[in-house]
Amino acid sequence: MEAWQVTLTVMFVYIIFMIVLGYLAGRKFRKTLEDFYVLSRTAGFIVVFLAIASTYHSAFAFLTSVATYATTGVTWWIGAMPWTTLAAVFGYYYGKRIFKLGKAKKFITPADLLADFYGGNAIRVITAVIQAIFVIAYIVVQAVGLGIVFDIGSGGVIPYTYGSLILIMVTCLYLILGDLRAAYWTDVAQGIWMYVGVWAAGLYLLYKFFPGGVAEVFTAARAVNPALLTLQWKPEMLLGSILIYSFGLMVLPHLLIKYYASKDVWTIKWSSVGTALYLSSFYIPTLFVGLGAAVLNAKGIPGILEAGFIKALQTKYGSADAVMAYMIYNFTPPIFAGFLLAGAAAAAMSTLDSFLGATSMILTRDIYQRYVRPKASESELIIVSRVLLLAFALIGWYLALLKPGLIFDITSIAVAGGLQFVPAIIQAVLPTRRNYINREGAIAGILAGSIVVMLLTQQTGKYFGIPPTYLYHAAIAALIGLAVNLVVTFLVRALTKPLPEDKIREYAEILKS
Amino acid sequence: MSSKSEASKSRLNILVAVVLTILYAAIFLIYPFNTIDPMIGGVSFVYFYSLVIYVFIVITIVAAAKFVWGE
Repeated sequence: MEAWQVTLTVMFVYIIFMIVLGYLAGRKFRKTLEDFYVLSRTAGFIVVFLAIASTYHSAFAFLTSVATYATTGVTWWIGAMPWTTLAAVFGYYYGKRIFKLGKAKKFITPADLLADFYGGNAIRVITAVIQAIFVIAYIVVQAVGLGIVFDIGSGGVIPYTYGSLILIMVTCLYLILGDLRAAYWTDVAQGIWMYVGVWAAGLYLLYKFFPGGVAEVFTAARAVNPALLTLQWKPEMLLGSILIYSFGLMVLPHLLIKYYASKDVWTIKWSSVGTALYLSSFYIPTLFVGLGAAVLNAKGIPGILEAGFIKALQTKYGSADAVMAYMIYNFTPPIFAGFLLAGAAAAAMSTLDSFLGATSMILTRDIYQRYVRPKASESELIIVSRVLLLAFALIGWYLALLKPGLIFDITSIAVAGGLQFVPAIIQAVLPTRRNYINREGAIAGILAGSIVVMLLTQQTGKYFGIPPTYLYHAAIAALIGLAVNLVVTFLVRALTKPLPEDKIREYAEILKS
Repeated sequence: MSSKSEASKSRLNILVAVVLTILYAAIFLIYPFNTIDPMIGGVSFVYFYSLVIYVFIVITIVAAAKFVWGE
């Protein structure tokens, strides 16, 4: 057997394992919406911890972290260490409140919470639609990651276009077989697989090329490009990235519903601790591969690897995201490569399934059930949800074919959108005696912030005719969006009626319990 | 839980929040010292500094979960 056949066989074993797991999860499905979406609120520590951790880390973590380490060095760690740990801390403080409110009031979607607290249907529709739009960016990057992994893992036999489609369809298949329960089950398996995979890949590649370990790779990186060992982002980029990938990401629906699914506060507390350790330590081995790749890129390996290989990957895939998959495929034994690349696919699929499941659920519950067919049966809603799931998957795949750029940059758009919901959500889960945000203020703020993000982000602003001088990385656009969001929110709040005190008291009572 | 121990937990919760805020703010102190040298333990100064903050953040989170955060 040739190397690519061995690698691909291992990856197919992984795929079959995921489908079987999805099927088994489906057999336990009770055909109620609460079970379909939030596991009847019975998820324990292992499920919540690994579901949050593996959903948070996606193709973004496995692929783009190495790409960014290879181009900006330790900068990635200096940004990612605080945002991963802060995401977990925020997850505890707001997650336990989301859990209590969700359990008491039977919430299933993020819009349920906002619509109930602020009242009226406008905020429900706006939340569902805006989050679905921003989430597309996240679906696209998983499709990009899956295309890269399959293309490289098959030695180019299954090209990017079809590789991406196959793995997306596998994700849809196990979601259809087992619905969101399958996403929770597979997330647990994928969470373990990708973590073992990333450490195995990091240590193997580090000691293969730099037997002296971490000190040797740092010394070599210093020799080829000293800037790799310092922080290269400006403060606003660092601050924006920390805020969007901690607060902004954690309020997106695919993660928020994990708190609804938890069985108690103890589970959320220790899941948050586990998540902090898991998410942050994931970026230690990717540093080894990234810095190593930067050194190899500068020097090359005579007869094996040409100097400047990262540039060639950028030309082929539209970004440097393929560096990790390329290093694994070319420099580890084929069976090991299959295992590791399956870990990379697991990282992307564990996020993709949650996004597809959560987004289709939100549009079904918050739009179709409420405004299109209020009397639809639960079976009909589940069918609609599956159709939407496939539609979003195919949209994501189509946009991935355009090779939109670095996964980090595209993902940042989605979480920059998520950040615009944070003020409204914080007011709901932290009901203060003085009401700072009312319904009109929340709606105006979310809309203003989201529009600013779309207009000022490099990848989206150009479609609105914004001159390049006024376009920024999504992390910076998110900061500007948040500032506009807060000003608009408080201005509108000052000009309109505050929230009824009964509602604030009701939430305070639930949260006190 | 008595109101006395609730008040004590509440004070500790605030302390945890303050400590974490200081630690996260300390990340930005890298800018004035954004240098490679002195290399410590084979890694650049800024990376070593971020690792030290990381260790303190992890210790604070674990300690908070064990002794301060409720339920």
